[in-house]
Order: sequence, then structure tokens, then C-alpha cells
Amino acid sequence: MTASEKKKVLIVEDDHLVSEMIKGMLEDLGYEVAGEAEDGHEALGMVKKLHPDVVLMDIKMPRMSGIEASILIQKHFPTPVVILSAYETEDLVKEASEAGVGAFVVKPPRPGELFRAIEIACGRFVDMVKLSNLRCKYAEAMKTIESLSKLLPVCPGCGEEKQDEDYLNKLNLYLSGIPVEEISRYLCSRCRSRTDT
Amino acid sequence: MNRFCAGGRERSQPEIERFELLSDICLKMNVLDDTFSAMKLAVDSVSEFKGIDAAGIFFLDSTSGDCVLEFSNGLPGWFIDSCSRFAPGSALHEMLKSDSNVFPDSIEQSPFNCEGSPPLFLKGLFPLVLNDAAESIMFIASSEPGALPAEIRGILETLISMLKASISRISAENRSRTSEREHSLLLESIRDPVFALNDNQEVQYCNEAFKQLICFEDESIEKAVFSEVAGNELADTLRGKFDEILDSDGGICSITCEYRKRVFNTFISRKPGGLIVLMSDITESDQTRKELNFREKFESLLINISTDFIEMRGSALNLGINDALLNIGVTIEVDRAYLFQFSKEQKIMNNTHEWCATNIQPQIDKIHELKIDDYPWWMNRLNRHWTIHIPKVTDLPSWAEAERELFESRNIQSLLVVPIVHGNDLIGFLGFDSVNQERYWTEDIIDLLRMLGDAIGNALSRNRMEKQLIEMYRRAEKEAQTNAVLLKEVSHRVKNNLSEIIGLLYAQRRFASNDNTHDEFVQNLISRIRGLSTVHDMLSSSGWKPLELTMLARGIIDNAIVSASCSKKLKASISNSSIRVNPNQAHALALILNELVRNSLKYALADSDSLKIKVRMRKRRAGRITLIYSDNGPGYPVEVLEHNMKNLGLDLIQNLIMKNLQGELTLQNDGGASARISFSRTITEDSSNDSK
Repeated sequence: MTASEKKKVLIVEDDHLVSEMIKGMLEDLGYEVAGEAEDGHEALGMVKKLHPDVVLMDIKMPRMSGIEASILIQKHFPTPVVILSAYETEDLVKEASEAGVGAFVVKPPRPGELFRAIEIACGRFVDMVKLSNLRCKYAEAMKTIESLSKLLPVCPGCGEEKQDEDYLNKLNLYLSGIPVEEISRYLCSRCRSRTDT
Repeated sequence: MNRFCAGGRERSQPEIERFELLSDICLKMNVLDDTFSAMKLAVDSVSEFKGIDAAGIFFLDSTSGDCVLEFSNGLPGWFIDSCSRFAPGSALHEMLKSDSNVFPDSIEQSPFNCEGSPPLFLKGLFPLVLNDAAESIMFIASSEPGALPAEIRGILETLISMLKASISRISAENRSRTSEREHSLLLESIRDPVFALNDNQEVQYCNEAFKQLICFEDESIEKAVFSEVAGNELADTLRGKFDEILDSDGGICSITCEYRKRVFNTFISRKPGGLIVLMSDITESDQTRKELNFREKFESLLINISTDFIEMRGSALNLGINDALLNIGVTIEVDRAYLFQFSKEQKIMNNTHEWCATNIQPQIDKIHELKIDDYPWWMNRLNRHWTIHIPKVTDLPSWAEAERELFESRNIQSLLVVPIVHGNDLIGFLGFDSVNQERYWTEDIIDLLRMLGDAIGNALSRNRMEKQLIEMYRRAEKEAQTNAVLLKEVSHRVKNNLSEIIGLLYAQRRFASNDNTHDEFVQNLISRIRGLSTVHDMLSSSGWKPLELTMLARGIIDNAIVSASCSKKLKASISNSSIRVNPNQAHALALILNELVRNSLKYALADSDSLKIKVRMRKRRAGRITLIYSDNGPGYPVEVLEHNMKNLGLDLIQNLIMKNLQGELTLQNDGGASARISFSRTITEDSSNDSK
């Protein structure tokens, strides 16, 4: 059982021996241990610096808890997070879920369990990133449609040609904003054939 | 003598004589007091008149129906012998049935005739009525035939009228006397006082009971003024009613009045010319009725109180007891009602509830924590669950001196106390004081008050038990919560320990070299896991509370030395300190000390027969703690001091201090190996809660 790509993992754990366990297990699974942080605060700095593929996070730690750190990581440096805790109360699971955590594993994990958790968290994180990108594109497209609708030459209310004074100005302004590489999409068939030739 | 008749005509001498004779008979007849004498006088007198030789009176025998001759005058012997009785159906019998005066003018053939005897002519028949049941008829006869002259007839009719009047008078007088006798008998047969008054409110008659009631000893009470003989007490009470009845047309009224400590239901009725008064003595029934009413009211009150107590808890029960004392106190008319409760140890009694009547001094604030042993007489009775009934406090025996002094100091004259018992336990008593007067309580009231005591006893006991149950439930709930938290903590610790063991295995694998034998690998692992086990035991025993550092160090070092099974002389000196560390720090320190001792055992004992380990700990400023571990061995190699040597033991010590304790490690050689560990004592949330 090895990771398809050698993913870099950041371990956030305040207990040295537990940290040893995770490290040994990750190495056996084919992951690369990118670093070890002792609390949530240190983890934030190391995520920013090391850009790990996934973070394995304990919950109860000094200075900053794993939940708080997960929230801040998702906000500032979106990275998949897998919680690894000896506590497994419903409240903790709920808090972890709300913090944007990808998986929750109870200590001590079996290697296969840890592997699945890391892979699923990473997979869901990729989906989430894609979804986020799509959402951005959708928002952009909606913005374009709104701009174009204002440039229609005929009024949908009366069917008359628009006589607004600044209509041509608006049209020129819009056309001037079209990137050069996209301009062909806006051309008429004659201009397009001329360009093609 | 009146010589003139009604028409103004002067009477003749015979007329005057007849008139005088008639007057004489009338006078005689008027003084007679029985009808037979009157009839006899009439029969005897009638022959005085001219033309009348004989007279007699036949009675109708109601049994046989015969006419029987009762009186006679001038009748011949043969008549008396043969005509003294006529059977029904005979001619004479029929004739005697006449219902009006008859003067037969032409009776030629006299029914009274008897062969061989001079004839006797019937001259007149006069029916007489003695009473409603018997009939009689008077007859007159003459030896001469022919009708009686008119004046004689008139005289006879007058005489018969006089006789009838006399018979009526005498009958009426007889009936009246009989009636009076019966009336008198009736009055005397009535045991209640009865009397009659005339319109002037003078006593007309009364029975003996009335005389006894008013203590009248004179012979005659008749005509005595009522108010004078009965006294003003009764007269004033009844006068208004007398006037009311006298002013009315009739009717009857009744009034309940008290006279000479007795209660009478007095019936006053109107009679012609006055009043009849019957005084029915209802003293006993009134008393019984009052007692029944009281008992009914009291029982109803007790039922209500007992029912209310079932639902009462805590402060509501206190209010309920106060309310019950008020209601009972008012009902049985005492001056003070109170509740005392004994302490659990039965050494102290406390006045917990009290009600006082108006103007009665409360005692609840003055009587506190009375020692039971001070009142032996009192407690001797209560312990036997007896009721204490003291009608007169001054009558208390000499060995109840303490009790008497207590009562007298509070002006108590009488008191009643009922024990409050639940099961066989005496838990208190209910007391009722009479301050203003001496009181005696009946058995009925005492029984009912004991029932009240039982009701209060049940309520108090139930309340106590409920409090205990609630307390137990709260304790159990708290323990359950604590256990749940502890269980989670234990689960967490166990999982953490398992994780650490796995971590140890990985770490040991990482540092394993070809020089290590399998046995050494296992022994090292066992030793480290034993260290983990020791601190786990210590933390479990302390309930995961902060551990004393001295105790922790001693436990780990002693355990490591024992596990070493070494024949050489080993000695550990650990300073006493009150420093406590939280469970996480204790856990890390235990592993660190375990590694340090293992290190000492491995290297310091190599060239020596004895090992002396010293552990010193000190509290610094700002919560910093310093722990110095040293031994008397050859000290650390230079590579170690210069951090150029790596092995698992050192790696564990350094990382546990750095990560788990966030502290610093200084290694030096000072007469042996010396490790100085400095860290901050952190109070985690769990340990701070535990400290509380």
C-alpha cells in the first residue's frame, strides 16, 4: 500500500512518541514527512513555508488547538487536513467537520485507515478546489452576461432600436476590453474569413 | 215571689203554689251534681202536682235493647213487678221510643193495666237524653182517666226542661271534670316543664316539672305572676315571644333558651285567654349535637390536613404544618400549638413550628436546642409513645421539677402533648398549651390529635426520606458524570499510551543497528513500556490529578532499579518537594526519568559496584521548575555533551523535553553524569478542574 504520488505530509503533534508513531507509519505508507509541528500555531507557519499536500493534526495541543489551526489553514492556505485524535466525541467530530477538515481518524490508527483518510481527504480537497474554480468561472460568466445584456441594440420592452446617447460609447468600451486572443469569437463571418485567409 | 205571670195577669193561688213548687224543685235540682239524683228528684217531685199519681223513668239497656224501669214514684206494686222491663217489639217499648213530649188524651186502654188491679192511666211521656249513647224516657201516670189540664202540662214541660237542663249541666260538668283530670294527668305525664299563662301573664296551671325547674315550693302557683315565680332570667328571655304570640291571632312558635345552665327548646302556643308553654329540655341532646358537630368538623379538618400533607414537599410542608397548627389551635381553642422535632442522635429537641392565639407570647425563638436528658420525666413518657396530658401544671410530680419550671416560666396552666412516631421511631411531638385557663381534654380529642401527630409524622418522615433520596440521586448523578468523564479520559489515555508504544516501536526500529540483538531490542522495549505502565498506574491511582514530582521520581526510579535485577549496590536519593505536575507532564517526566535511570544503570555501573542516583527538584520564578538528575558514574562521553552522538535514549530525552515539556535540557559532568531539566509548570484545563 503506497501513495500514488509521494505526498508531503506535515505532522502536528505535541507528544513526541505519538509523533514517532505517525512518522513511522507514514514512511511505511510511502509518504514524505515534510515536517513536524508541536502545536497549531507552529503548524500555520510550517504550512505556509512547506506547502504540504496534507496535514495530520492532533486536536488538544498547547497554544492553539488543532480545530483552530484547521480553520485558519483553510482560510489562508487551503490544504487538506486529517484530524488524528484519541478523543472521539460527537461534539469534536462536529467541530472538526465545521472547520473544513477532510477526515477524522482515532489514535492509534491502523496504517490502511490512515492511508484511506489521507487519500480521501486529498481527493475531496481536489474536488473542492475544482468546485471553487467552477464557482469563480460561473460568477465571471454571469457578470459577462449581465454586461452583454445591457448592450443589446433592441429594447426587449418596446422592440424599438435603442437611441440612448451613450450606447455606442458603452459598446466601444466593452469591445475595447475584449482580450486579443478572444477577439475572434466576436467577429462577423466576413471578418473571420478574412482573418482566416 | 212574683205574683204575676208573663201576660201581666195576676196569678191564682194554685198557680202560685205550683210556681213555688216548681221554683223549689229548680233550686234543688241546680245544686245536684249527678244526673241520677236529678232524675230521681224529678220523679219524686212530679206527683206533687194535681192529677199525677205516679211517675217513673225507663232506660234503654244498650246491651239487651230492653227498656228497664230505673226510677219510680207512686207506682203500684203490680206495675213494678210486671212492667219494670219491656222487650223490644212490645207495645210499650214502641211507645217509649217517642222523641217528643207526649200527652196522650185518649188512651182508654192503658198499657199499664193489670187484670184484677185498679187501672193506671198514662198521662205523659217525656224523652230524656242522658248522653249520646243512652236513651231514657220519663212517664207520668194517674189512676184517673182523661187528659191533664193545660196548666199542668205546662208545669210538666217546664219541669222536664229543667231536668234536661240539669242533666246537660251535670253531664257537661262531669265531662269538664274528667277533662281536667285527664289534662292534669297529661301534664304530669310530661317530663318537660309545661305551664299555661293567662293574658296577664299570670300562671294558670303548670306541672311539677315546671315547679321543680323554677324551684317553686309553695302549694299554689295559680294566679302567680310569671316573672315573679320564674325570675327575670327566664321571663326576660321569653317576654318578647309571649308578646309576639299574644298579639298574633294564634299559631305556635319556638325559641331556644338557656335557663339555669340548661338548654330548652321552648314551644309557645296561643290558647283562648292566654298561652301554653312547653319547655323541652334539650341540654343533653344539644351537648351531644355540639360534640358531634365538633367531632365532624375536627375530623373533616384532619382529613383535609392529612390529604394536603400527601402532596407537600420542602417549604410547602413547613407552610402546611404552620397552617395545620393554626387550624387545630383555633378549633380546639388552645392558646398555643407547636411542633418539636428531635435531632437524629435523639439528644436535642427543637421547636420548629408554632402558632399562638392573640396576645399569647410566642416561644419558638426562645426554645432552642433543649437537651433531652434535662427532661427525664417528659422523655420517659414520650419514649413509650404515651400522650402527656397535664390538666394542671402545679400537680406535676416532684421528679418533673425541670418540666414544671419550664411550663411555669411560660405561664402554662395546662398542656397536652402527643408523640410523633414513624414506625417505632420517636421523631418529635405536638404540643397544645392553655395559658389563660386550666383545660381538660377529652379522650376523643386526644385520639384525634394523635391522628394529626401520625399524619405530621408521616409527612416529616417522607420529606426526610425524599431529601435523602434526592441527595443520593444527586450524588449518584455527579458520580456518574465524573465516571463518564473519567472513562473518556481513561479511554483517551489508553489510546495515547498505545499510540506511544507503537511510536516507541517505530523509534526503536529507526535507531536499531546491526549491533543490537533481538533480545536487547525486546528488553529495551519492555523496560520502556514498563516505565509507561508505572506512570499510568500512578496517574490512575490519583484519578488523573496532578502528581507530586517527588512521588513520581521515586516510583519510576525504584521501578527501574527493581526491573534491572542487578546484584550491585544501588541507591537513590530523591529530595522532598511539594511540587506537583499535571498528568501530561508527569507522563513525559516519567519516560525521561526512565531513560535517565536506564542510562545510569547501563554506563555508571559498568566499572563500579555501586550506583548512587540523586534527584533534586526546585521551584523557580514564574512557575519554572528545575529537576536535576545525577549519578556517581563516569559521566557523559564528550560526543554526547557536544551533541555529536545519537541514540534512541538521548533522542527520546531531548524530544520529550522539547516537545512534551517545552523545556530545556542541559547535560554536564559533575562528579558523574548530570542532567538538568527546566520546564514551566502548566496548568491544563483538566488539572485545574481536578485541583478544584
